[in-house]
Amino acid sequence: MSDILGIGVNSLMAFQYAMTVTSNNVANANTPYYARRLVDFNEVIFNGGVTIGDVRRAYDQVASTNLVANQNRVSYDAAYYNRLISFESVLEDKQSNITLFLNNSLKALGELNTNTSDLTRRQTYLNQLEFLSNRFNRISEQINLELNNTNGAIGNTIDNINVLTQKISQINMDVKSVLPENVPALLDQREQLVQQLAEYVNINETFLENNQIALSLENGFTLVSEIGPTMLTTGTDPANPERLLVKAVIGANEFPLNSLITSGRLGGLLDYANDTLEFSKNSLGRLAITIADQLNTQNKLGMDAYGSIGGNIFTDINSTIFTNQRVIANDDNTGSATMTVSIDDTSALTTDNYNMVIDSANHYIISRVSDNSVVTSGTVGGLPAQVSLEGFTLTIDTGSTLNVGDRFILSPTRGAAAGFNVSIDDANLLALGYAATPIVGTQNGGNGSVQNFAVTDTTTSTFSTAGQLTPPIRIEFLSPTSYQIIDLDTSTVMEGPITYTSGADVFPTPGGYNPGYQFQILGSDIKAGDTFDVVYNDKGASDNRNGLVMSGLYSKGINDGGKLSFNQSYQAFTAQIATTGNALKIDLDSAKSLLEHAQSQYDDVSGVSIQEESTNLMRYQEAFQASAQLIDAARTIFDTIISVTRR
Amino acid sequence: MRVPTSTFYRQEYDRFADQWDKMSTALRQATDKMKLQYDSDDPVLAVDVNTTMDYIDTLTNYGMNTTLADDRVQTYDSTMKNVIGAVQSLSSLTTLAATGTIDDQGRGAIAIQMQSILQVIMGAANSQDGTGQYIFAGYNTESPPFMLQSDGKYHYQGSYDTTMINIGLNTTVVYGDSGFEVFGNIPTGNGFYTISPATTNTGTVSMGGGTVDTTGSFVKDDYTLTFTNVAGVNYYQLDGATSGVVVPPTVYSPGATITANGMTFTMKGQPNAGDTFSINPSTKQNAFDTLTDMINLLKTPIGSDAAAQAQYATKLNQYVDSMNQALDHFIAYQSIIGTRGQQISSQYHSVSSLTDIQKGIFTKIATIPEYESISNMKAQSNALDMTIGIYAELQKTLANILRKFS
Repeated sequence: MSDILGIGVNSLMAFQYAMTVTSNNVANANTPYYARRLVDFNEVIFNGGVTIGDVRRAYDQVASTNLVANQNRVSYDAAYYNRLISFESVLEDKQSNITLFLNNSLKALGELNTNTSDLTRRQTYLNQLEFLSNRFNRISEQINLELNNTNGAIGNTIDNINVLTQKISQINMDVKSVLPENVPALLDQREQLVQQLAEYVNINETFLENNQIALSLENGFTLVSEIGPTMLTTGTDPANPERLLVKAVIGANEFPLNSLITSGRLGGLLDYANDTLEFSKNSLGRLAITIADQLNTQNKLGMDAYGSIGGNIFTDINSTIFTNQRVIANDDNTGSATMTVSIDDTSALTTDNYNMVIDSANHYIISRVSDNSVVTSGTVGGLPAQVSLEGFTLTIDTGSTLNVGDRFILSPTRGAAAGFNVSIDDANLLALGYAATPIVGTQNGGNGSVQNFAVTDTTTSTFSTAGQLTPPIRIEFLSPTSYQIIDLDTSTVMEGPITYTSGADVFPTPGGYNPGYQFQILGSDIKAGDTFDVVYNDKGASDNRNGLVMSGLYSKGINDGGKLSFNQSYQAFTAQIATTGNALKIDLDSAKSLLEHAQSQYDDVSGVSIQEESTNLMRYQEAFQASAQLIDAARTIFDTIISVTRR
Repeated sequence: MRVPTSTFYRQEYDRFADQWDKMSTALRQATDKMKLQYDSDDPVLAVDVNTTMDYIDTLTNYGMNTTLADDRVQTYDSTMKNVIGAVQSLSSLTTLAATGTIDDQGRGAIAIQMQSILQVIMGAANSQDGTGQYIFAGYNTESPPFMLQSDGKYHYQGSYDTTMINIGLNTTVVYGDSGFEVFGNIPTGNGFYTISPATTNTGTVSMGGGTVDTTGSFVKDDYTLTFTNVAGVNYYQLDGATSGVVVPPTVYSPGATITANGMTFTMKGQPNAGDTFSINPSTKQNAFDTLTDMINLLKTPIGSDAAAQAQYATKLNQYVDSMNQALDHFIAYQSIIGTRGQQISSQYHSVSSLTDIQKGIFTKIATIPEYESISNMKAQSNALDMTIGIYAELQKTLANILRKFS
């Protein structure tokens, strides 16, 4: 009989406790990472009845690890994608993209070519070129702004990571010292912190004894151990002042960690800054260099509205300010090398940066940053030394000392979009005509004509004095098959007889004369005495021959070994950004569904189901009432016994 | 399987978010009609879209130049019509000037009329376009191409090159012709040789312009025709500077025709011994100098001197031939203009049809048709409604379970 009462009482206690646990579960149904508690009932041995055996956290380590991994990936993709998409909209804006400005300037040039003596049209073209260069500058600024913002976000992320790792370490300490019944609540809290941390950086969880966890980055680098957290900080990359390094503080030392951070928000931000933005800078820079180089070179072959040989339209791509900034010496270098990079050939330029390492005395290795492939290596003999590779030449200046271990980054294209500027104000300096012009003898009896007249080099002595050719020449046919070249200033024969071939380049002559222009004489019936003069073009007010060549440059394949025109080069660049964005978007979508799946798996074990809890509650309620009935029954039995004995 | 409450809500939330996302895409597409918001939505399609847009831009960029080129061709065409009309009207005047009965006064009157024809042609050669550019000056569009210089000749001031402009990618067309080619580079005489009497001739022999049998047979040389008189009989002899004796002394009678070295010409009148004629290969001269020469010839009084009249007749025939060369030259040029006009208009048509095709392609690949975007929107909004409906039903079920306990 006392047993019945005892059983009733301990059951009552047990079910009441179970109901408390259930109601706690229900209350925390929406608490993130609250792992539902399961009540284990045990039969009370010997005396009978029931008691609470254990209150367990429904928790699955595999589900948690899985969740962390997927959280890493989603955060990486989301951070990268969201930044990229806003940058992409800058590049693709239909009202202000580079393609539009290129086409507008080409249009202005086409209209200018109909009347090159019209200053208004000249000014319009020059303005269009300024708009174009401004657009490059703006995008370049935008990239720098993106870089600053991203670096700021990296700093914030690292602050958050430090806060989280500290808290996690604290909980690791606390679970050792608190009462066992308080442990589950701490573990829930820690789980939440771990999952938050997983948003920021890639972590591997290791479950240790005594409810401890350790967290590490790639390659087992410890972020949180039993001893405590490793603090992170940022610092400037000694190799590249624009690049931010994530470092671990260990004692008095700092170790760069960038290569260990592969995922999470931090990974996404680092990749965005170091891959996409770096690639964008270089791609735009390469295009800016190409446009400046092509138009400058062509303008220098022409004659401007004042009758002088043209100069640069844009700031010279190899002016000192540019050649210096293309080499970044590592801050840690012990040598004192000064180096410059000058561009030789825009069609051979890549969008890469190059690492240069002095690996042994006076011996260097230059490799691409993108894939670490070695481009060239060699020994520096006397100074100044020059190394030519992939469209540019590196010059190591006199007086440089190269110490073993010194490092340099060569960036031929990187800052060029910012330095892309129109350097002339006067539109009359656009050199749209040629200083030389061919004249077919007016009394020629034959059918010879001049083909493809073009100026190829204005640095020759022919063009050394403004306003004249030095000398003007006459090609005079001695017979239908041979001619001689006469200096028209002195009327003396310079060279001849030269065998005539219809359609062959006239220069250089067999004697090696090359005045800096080129043409062919075409004709099957040329008479002796026929002349072809090349004289100074003093009647060229509306000469547009060089202007037409300039407008041809817009559709000429240049970049990537002569494959891409200006527009194609830009479109190849934006297509690359778009492809990266698309890959991230697709990955983000699949990562999201995987995360959803991982979350469901986790919740499947740990999540609270109100329906389930309600059912449990009902069960416990009924059991509780039944237990109360037991006590009641025990009392009734007791009363009956008492009343029987009273008689 | 257990469906934990938070999972249930989260899944519902995800479904809503997903539906809203699609709804907002459908809404954007219905508004701006473009399939893609960012290139990264579909990089492959984006490359096509951008290339097509760039192509359309490039095509339409040359619209202005094509119009300018077309205007210029029209200007050339109407200018040359005037020139050709004026030169053709010369023939009635020269016919009149060639009649034997006309006197010095009559010739003077004809000269005045020819002067006005010269002015018409001059005006055409020095014509300017709307912006003040000389259209027959090659590159040298700032100054009039033909100017009368102190030597009494018209000198070409323009450039010998023609100005080209782009009317399409890699398509150029002549925009500014060289006046030298149009008005200047015209052979004199019959196009092969000229015949000029020595000023010292005292006989009355005059000659027509002469002809050439076949183009290739004319032997280029400086010839001299010399008349001699041996025992009262007139002989003529033709020598070439390099050919030597071409026609040995031959008895002359009026109306005799010489055919030698590809040349054929007829002589009229009576020679005196020692009279000579030079027959030289044609040179090139501009139409203004030729016409000026003709006017000067008409202005010079010849009175009734038979020898002077013979000289006059020979010279006039030469100038008439020269002006006919000019006329042929102008007509040939006009046909070049016609061809150029066709080239421009075919370029114009091919550009406009290409532009239409490209725009069609652009519409097809880049934009979303209205019916599609609207039906997308309807479908999305229905799906959203249904999601909301299902959510509400599930909520009710949950509430029902809880109600059971009360």
